[in-house]
Amino acid sequence: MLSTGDDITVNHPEEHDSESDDDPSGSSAVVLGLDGLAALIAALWDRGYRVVGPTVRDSAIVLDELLTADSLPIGWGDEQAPGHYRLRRREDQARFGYVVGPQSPRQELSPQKVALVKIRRTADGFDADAVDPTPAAPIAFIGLRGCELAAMGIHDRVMIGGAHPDPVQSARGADRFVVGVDCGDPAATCFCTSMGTGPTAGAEMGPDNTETADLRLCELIDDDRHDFLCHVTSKAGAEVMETLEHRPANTADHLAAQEVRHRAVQCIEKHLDTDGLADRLMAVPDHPRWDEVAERCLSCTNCTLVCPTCFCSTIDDVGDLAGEMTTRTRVWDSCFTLDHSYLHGGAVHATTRSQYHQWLTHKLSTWWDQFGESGCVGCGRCTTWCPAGIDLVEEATALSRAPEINR
Amino acid sequence: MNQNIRIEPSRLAATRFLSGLPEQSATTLSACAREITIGRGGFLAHESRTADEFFVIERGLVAIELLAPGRGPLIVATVGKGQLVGWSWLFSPRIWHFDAVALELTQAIAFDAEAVRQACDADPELRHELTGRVARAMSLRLEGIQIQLLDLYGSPS
Amino acid sequence: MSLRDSIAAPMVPVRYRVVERRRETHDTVTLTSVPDAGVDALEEPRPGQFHMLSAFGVGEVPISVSGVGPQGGIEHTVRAVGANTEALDALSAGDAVGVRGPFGRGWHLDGAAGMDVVVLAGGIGLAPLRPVIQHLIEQREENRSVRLLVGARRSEELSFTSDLAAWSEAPGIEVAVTVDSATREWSGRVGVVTNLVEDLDVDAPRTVAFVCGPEVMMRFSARALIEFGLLPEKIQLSAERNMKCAIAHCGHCQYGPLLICRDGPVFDYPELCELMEVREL
Repeated sequence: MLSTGDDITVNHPEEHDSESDDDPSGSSAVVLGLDGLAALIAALWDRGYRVVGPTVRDSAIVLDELLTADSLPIGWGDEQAPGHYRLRRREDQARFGYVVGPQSPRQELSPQKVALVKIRRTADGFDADAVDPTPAAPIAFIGLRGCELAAMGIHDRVMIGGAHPDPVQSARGADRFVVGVDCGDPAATCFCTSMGTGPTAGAEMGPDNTETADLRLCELIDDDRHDFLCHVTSKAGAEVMETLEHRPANTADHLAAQEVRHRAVQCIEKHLDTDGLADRLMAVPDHPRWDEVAERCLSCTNCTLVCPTCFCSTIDDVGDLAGEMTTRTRVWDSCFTLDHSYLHGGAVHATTRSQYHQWLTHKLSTWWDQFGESGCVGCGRCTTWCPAGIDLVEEATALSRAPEINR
Repeated sequence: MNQNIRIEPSRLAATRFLSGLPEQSATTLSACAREITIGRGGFLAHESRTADEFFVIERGLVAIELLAPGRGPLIVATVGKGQLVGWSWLFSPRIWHFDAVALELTQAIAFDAEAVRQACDADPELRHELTGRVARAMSLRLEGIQIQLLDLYGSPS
Repeated sequence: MSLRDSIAAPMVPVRYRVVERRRETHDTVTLTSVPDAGVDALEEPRPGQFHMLSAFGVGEVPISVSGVGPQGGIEHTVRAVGANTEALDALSAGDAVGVRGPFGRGWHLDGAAGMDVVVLAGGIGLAPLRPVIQHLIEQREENRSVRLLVGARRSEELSFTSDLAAWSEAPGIEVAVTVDSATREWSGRVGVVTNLVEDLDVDAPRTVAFVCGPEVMMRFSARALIEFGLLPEKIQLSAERNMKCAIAHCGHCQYGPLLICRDGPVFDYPELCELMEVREL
């Protein structure tokens, strides 16, 4: 939920601690224990939200309904590299000790398959009615990273920011509650610092990234403590916080959070030079690197399915067996399929080379033309989940350089 | 083909094919030229006959075509005002490879190929002018035919 | 009121009824449809805009508006080349047809005021240009030359033949037609449509051109028009890519930086010329 611009204050159940200080962004900060986190999830359910957050399934961190805090990936971390993803046991009991899994909020806001219109055969021809996209309950996301918050904003601007707002994304995203989490242990595939989206859940975001969390957690673990510094950044966040047991944050808490951020930034080794990148990529349609990457790319569509901003879909009119009812259905699609660019008789993007060109230039270049911002948030999913281990940063960097000439 | 009217040099330069032709070349060339008028269905050229002429159309429309048994004449291109008909005279064995048939009342300037060849031998400037223009006409025709071959409007397979 | 209450349902087809079906060629028909009884008419389309059309039970296709008649009747010219267009082709007068739209940015006719006009169409590309010609005839300007150049595969595959005949008679308009291949039954021109450009008698620097047809033909046509003396920014083309939603959500109609459904389908030539040079873009 976006901040209303009103002052955000939390009424502390205890006396105001003389050591407490609010962070300069204007939000107030408190400290929440593990019990407080559990209470937060319970409180969100009580307030009528459907709480969705990270949990372990099929050897991965996935997004699912979180009935209690016990379902969080307690003590799990992940190991990511190009074409590589493994869960690993952590030495601590961190709740948010992983980075990002293959899923992202877009599966909740614009599901993989969604019925849009029911069209019934009648004596007159047909009657068509929109399927009501209103979900039974507003959603509360737990544990979104900075890159995911940015991606959610980008995806929203595509789907509801234009002349024809999408009713599905509008309804499913309406009145949502977001608990963001700072990244403490980024993966080898992360490059959020290059894209200005992380590693903290909001602090680095530029003026265009208006998506903010209602509550922003930073998990603080050492020998003596395991709790969360929590920035309360919206009225809805403050209202929930008032019902939870917490204490005001003090200087030591802020310093510990800074240390988490500092460590995370140090961890991120990948760097994408975004200065002039959009123009550089579009200027080299004949670069031999496109041919090289096409040799490795399998056109498997994985990168587009795990990408948190990809929005391509196809529309199928699906008939029933009796031929009486057609359901106009929206299904995720990928620019790596031949059908994507089908134009009476054949595909425009007929080769893997042109499909990869379409994908990469769209993310890093033409998204700016189409929507005024980058389509990439630096989460690294496309690289991790590529079965061929194709690394977006490596490819974009190579394409930015003059081709090497072998003599 | 009937008339046998002298052609003024300025009339050559007024056609698109010969526009901008230097005065000296135009004068030389006009000595090899005469005006012809052909009615609808009349032939300017017959496939496999000696190519001893070429034409620049002043008015009307000419089909470049071949007769296919059972299918009638098949037109590959039409040539209209200001354009060249015929370049077979330039190359051995100097026979026409297509028919050229007037589709409507057509007026053209006809050139005596042998006379033009001799004039070119004597005047390298004229040869240069003429070969350049014929090459451009051939290039335009080829480009057009190449696009036609693509069958761009055809049903997608 | 929450956001969701304010949002219409952009994917719902509106029920129109086919009132006339006219065969153009062996695989092409023109359908005239009107809003069905009790159904609110869609916004009147501008020349160059398109609708998403569907026959019941079959998917949608983007079809350009090929004419606007009285009583809100919209004409669409459909060439049967796949399951969806074949289903539309099979509709008869009295059948219902699903319509969404109109969508897209049409021809910029304002820019043509006081200028000569060249309308250059290849094949079915004449359909989205037909409203332009109708507009130019209705809003006739004295001393303006309008030249319609039409290319088709064969004479039997020419659409709008009665219109072509009528337009030839209209003051200020000259019509030239050429076909790719012909027998002697065709007494007109044979060759590519770009051949017609050099015969134009218009004031080239003060001429606007509207071009629609297969992409290769548009590339060659734009170059021929520029060589003839037209200014590149005075040449408009109607581009085409796959299209599923027509509301800039589905991503299919991307053409490099452009979303055809939102930013087009009509573009000025300078917007497209570099893109058209890139293979498989």
